[in-house]
Amino acid sequence: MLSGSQQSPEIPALSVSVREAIASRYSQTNAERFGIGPARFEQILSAVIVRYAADAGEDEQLEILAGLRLEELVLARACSDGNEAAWDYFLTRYRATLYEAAYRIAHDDATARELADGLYGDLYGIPGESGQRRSKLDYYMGRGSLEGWLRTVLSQQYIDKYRARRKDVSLEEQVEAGASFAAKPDGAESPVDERVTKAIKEVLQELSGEDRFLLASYYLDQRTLADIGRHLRVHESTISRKLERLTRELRKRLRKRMEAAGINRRRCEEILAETDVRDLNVEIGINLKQDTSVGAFYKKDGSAT
Amino acid sequence: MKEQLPNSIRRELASSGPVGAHADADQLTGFAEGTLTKREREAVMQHLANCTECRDAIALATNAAPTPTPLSTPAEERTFTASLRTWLPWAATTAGVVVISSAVFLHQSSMRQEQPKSANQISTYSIPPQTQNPPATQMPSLKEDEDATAFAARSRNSGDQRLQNRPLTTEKHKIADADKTVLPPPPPAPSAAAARPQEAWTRADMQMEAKGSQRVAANQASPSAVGGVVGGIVNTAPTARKAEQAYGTRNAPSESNSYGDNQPLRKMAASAAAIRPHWRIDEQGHLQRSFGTDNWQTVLVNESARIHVVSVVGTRVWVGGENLRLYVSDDNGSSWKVVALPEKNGIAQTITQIHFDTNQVGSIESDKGTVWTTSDGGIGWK
Repeated sequence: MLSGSQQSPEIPALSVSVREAIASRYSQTNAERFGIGPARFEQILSAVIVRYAADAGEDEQLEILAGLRLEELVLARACSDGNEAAWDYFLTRYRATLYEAAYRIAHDDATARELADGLYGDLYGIPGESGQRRSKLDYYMGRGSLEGWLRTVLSQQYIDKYRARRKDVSLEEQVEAGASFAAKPDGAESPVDERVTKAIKEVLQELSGEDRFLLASYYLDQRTLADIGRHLRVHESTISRKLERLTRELRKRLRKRMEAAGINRRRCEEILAETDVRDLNVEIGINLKQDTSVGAFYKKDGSAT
Repeated sequence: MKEQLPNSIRRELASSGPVGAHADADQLTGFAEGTLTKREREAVMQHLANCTECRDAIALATNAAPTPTPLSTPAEERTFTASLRTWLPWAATTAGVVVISSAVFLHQSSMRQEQPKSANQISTYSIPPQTQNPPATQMPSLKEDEDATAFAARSRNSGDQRLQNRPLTTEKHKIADADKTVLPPPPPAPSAAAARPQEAWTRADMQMEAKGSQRVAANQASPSAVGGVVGGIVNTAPTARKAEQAYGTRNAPSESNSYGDNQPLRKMAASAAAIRPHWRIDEQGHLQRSFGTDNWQTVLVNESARIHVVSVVGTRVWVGGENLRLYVSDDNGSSWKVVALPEKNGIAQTITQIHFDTNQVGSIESDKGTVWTTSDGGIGWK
């Protein structure tokens, strides 16, 4: 393993208060034990502040600093610097966690092992052109726990590698598996009412990011209320109430905008009633229209209608 | 969901693409763990609202965490009915305990009148010999033949500082009466990493021990009121073992006791003593619980913030840590509720003190000196 390297301390320009706050935190960590001196420590933390709050005020920079996971950040940097003691500690503490998380993500032994081994290799680092090892741990910034960061990285790699791979399954295999494919729509699609589209866009633009996130998670991703609650760190009943209120409000606003745009009430109700069945572009009125060319129905006198 | 989202809105939602660059793993982790600033959280949320990949990443990562702790509705969102549901069991339990305690006291009074003490009778109120380094945060149970009122009298009359600081033992009867079923087994220990290096985090250890001693000393200096407070960090295992040795003999049933044939009462006392947990915080800031053995189980396993203080009031346990994390459990740590404190001086603070004079009235202090107080058991804070 390469010995620890001391990088030249190129410290970005930060205010005096922030630099003092950084310096005061050095003694609260085991940086010295892992071979990270005060100058390198300041460089690491300054880089974090500059990355996430370069244009923010001093208060926010201090807030970010106060929320950093310093010990884990120091450990990660010491590992990427090649410190043996840091690596020993990292392996002892995080190796098992890494493999367990990979299994929980992949639900499959072989895939989990491949995922964890791959990340483990990235964390250890690959020697670059200069011969110096470049570790993925360099990208850990201490904003959340190191364990949480490892899980997130595993998740991202799983999505990139394995979900992309599933899209490459041949059509033949899909047909054999029973999948059917919709016919190409012909040119005569039912016209999209521009007024409806405009009303929907306006209504959605009024929503906050959190509201859109809730709608997307529940209706697009089909996540459970409990899952969404876990992601947002609130109880599922809170999510349920919010979604209920949000859906009701959206329907109300959309109806109002459509009526204001001149769409008749019956059509509004039809649009609002199109739920549970997705991705259908069906005009109910057209489908229900009967074909009278072959005289399906007869009048009492026997003549066709 | 009573009302569904119209397909037209759903299609428009699905068609919108990600806003801005993808959030990096640190931002996603910080979002999931609640450590981002308000500005950052809003920006990440805006991105997540339109990016399926990042939403999937967060979902996978969150679900891959060890078994999550059940969360409750935040305090400020509780309705009156929900509050009633929370406090009604307590009120019923307290009423039951008062009835039982009164019955026991009356029974004892009548027994004492019939059998005056003789010189040879072993006193049931003898004070055990003092031990060195008494653990201030242990919860010693009363003698099996003692009731709450007699215990309080003994506490006042004795010069034993420890006895004066003990919570009243009506709590013990309350526990035994309210929950005669066997507690569920402690949660399985998380799949542990290999043994940590012996010299790891020694500085943090020393700081934690120093803080624990200060809090212990502070609690000993201020006698607790009814309902009791035992605050601060329970000492680490070696001291806990000394405590068990010290109190183990005293808790052993005496040869002669005035329970006589009162088997149910003796069983209640024994079961109450058996189910009272011990608490500690390990060097990594994880909260751990033990039921009187050396088997310490980590609770709140999904909590990434370091825990700094634990405070026990009867069966209610308060836990505080970094980033104003505050949890409360009403069942000795089997389930936990998150308590949201009103924002004061930002969220980047660590809860370092939890103090309750009674079940209702208490205060919390952070490392920045910010203080929150409650007068309703933690439902509302100011």
